[in-house]
Amino acid sequence: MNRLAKPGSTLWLLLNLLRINWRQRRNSQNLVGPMLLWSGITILWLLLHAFAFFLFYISTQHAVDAHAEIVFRAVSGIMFWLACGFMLLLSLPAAAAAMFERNNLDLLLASPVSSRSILIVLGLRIVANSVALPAFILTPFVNMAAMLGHPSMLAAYPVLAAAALLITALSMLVMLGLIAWLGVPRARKFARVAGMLLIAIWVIGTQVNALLQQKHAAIVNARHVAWQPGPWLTVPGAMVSGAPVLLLAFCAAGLAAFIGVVTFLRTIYLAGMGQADDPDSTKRNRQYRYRWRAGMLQTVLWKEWRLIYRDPQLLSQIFLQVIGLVFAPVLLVQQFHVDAVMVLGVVVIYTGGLLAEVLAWLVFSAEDAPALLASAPVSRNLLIRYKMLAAQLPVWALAVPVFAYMAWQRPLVAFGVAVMFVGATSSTSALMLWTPVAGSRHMRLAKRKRSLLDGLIVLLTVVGWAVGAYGIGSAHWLVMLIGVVVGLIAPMIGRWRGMRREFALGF
Amino acid sequence: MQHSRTMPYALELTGVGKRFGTTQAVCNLNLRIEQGEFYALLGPNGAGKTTTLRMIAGLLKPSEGEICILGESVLGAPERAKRPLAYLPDEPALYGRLRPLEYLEFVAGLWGMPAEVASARGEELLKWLGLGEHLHKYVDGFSRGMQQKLVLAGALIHEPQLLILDEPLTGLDAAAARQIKDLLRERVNAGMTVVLTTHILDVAERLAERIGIIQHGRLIAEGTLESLRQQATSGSGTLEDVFLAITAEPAT
Repeated sequence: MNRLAKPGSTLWLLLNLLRINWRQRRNSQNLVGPMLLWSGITILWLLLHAFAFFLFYISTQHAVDAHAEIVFRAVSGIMFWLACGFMLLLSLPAAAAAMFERNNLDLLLASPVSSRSILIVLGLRIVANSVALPAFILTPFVNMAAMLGHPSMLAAYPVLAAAALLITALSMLVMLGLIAWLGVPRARKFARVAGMLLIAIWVIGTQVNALLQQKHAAIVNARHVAWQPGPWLTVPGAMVSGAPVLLLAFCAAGLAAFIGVVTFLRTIYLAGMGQADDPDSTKRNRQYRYRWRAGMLQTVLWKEWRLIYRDPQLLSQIFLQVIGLVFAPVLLVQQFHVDAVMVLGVVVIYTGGLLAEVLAWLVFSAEDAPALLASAPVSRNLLIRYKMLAAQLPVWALAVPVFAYMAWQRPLVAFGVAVMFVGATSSTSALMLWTPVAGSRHMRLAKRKRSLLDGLIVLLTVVGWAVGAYGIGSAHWLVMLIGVVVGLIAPMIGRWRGMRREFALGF
Repeated sequence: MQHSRTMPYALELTGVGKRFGTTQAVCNLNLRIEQGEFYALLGPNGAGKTTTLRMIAGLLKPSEGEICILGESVLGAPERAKRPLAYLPDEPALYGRLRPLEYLEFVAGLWGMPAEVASARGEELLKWLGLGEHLHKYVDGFSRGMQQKLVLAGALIHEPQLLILDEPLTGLDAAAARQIKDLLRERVNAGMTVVLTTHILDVAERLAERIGIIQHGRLIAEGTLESLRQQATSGSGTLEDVFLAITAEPAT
């Protein structure tokens, strides 16, 4: 690979950084060997081609009406916006990581390579990171469309590349703006959390969009009128389908935006890197007022909450986990048309219980200074009670708006569900205390080494309380009783298992 | 065991032992340290020094024996016993996303100090230790030496009567090490009891009034440097000579 380009050139730097990036990812995720991996990726990509072929084949059998072309362009437009949304949510955290996390940047900046080249390469790395997955998913459809009578669809390739350049330029601009405004540490935090927020909006947006389309289709069918998509779908649809002026304009815009950002904003970038030398400096170097008011409870609560709040990596992981948990029930409501208030209750218990378990892991197992706590003149039981509260209170606070809405809709059900909710969060926190999982705050949440059985017990506990809530919402009292019994017995099994092993908490 | 003194020992270990499975880490350890004394506990790697200190600090429960801090039993009344104690572990354990003053106020809160007092005292300690310019930074951006200083400040914030330090000078530059040695000397002169373990024998030689040498979990020698010299029959040697002579394993 090194021989493909002149050493020290922008292309050489890009190829090397991509290779390092790829190897780092491969090592950190313990993936299989490269041959097997590439074979797997290729097979999956070919399977996607087969799926796309099947889809187009079916649709061409039925697309006999006059609106087929309109629908085709509208679908292309939707795909364009989905791909752009997905690339945006990938590129913002990637921009924060590529531009301001030191790794090998010290070496690059100390080398005689120009800062412009470095910024171009970093930008292209962001482009590669953002475009890889959307391209992997979309290109089989483009290829099959081209093969089955729509060769102009090959224009999707330059459109995708130009969109990636445009979005990367936007992300870099946003990052540089944030750094100028907030300073490096806060900009990093913002980018990570915003990235997760974008994922949430994207996930929920796609679901809402699907719901709206279902309703719209029903209306169209009922009124027997032809559907006319708006310009926000037809313009990108035409572009993807190869309309020359639009295509050229869009590609030129993407390229110009990217070159403009890397050329004109180098000074801000280098100033930002200077700040990033000092990982704790903030742009607004204001004097902080420290408030640990006397009282053990406040002391413990504020310490735990500050540590959680100040860890953007952790926040984004928790956020991602919550989104993952919410996603399945949203689909359930959408697909099976279940009573929304009741499902809301089940979702909030399920999500809250598992979130409380994560926070309990942070405050108990991932305690950074157990020796300090153990040597302090504080009762261990008192510390445990306060830490338990520290894990649960944020979850309760997050659930307040949901319960307020439920209370407005069905007050008695809301009360019953709230009781189940407290039961779920308390049980899962207690389980983390009884069956601690070794780990540190700096490790990824997904890497916690909880045994399969312990994980199942947590899941059973949460599901038990959620079933209890379902019983309340649907007035099936036997179901409620069964749920509560499961929600109480499962943690007891966990406690029994925990008593049989060496206690792992350090305080 | 109750001694017939009006003033309790700062630290008293009676028949203390600790087993980990089949390994006897500490065995029948008897130690009495007077208030206001500077005591150094020395020993080769794996001798049981850290285990002993962790038992004193209440982090490990002894398998047998009794530990008293200023007359209070660590096992019987742990909260009362630990109130006058500060423990500095060998690895500085800090909360990376707290600022230094926040950390000190948290530690002070654990010892029940009012926030206002803790805040003022914390600032004073940080300035004295040369960390005054870094008040706005998070601790995870600190160098090892700065972290060590901060942990020491945390140990001192509640003005303990007994300070237990496990390798306190590891990772410090010469100036910082000197500063900490001076600080410890000054505190001992003011009546604080200091017990430390160190591999830098020069520190023990210069600072400690009494030295205990522990090997294979047993206290094999104890006394002033002079009396240890006599035990080692090396009349004018340095502590290093004495230590090596006392801990020398018989040739097999």
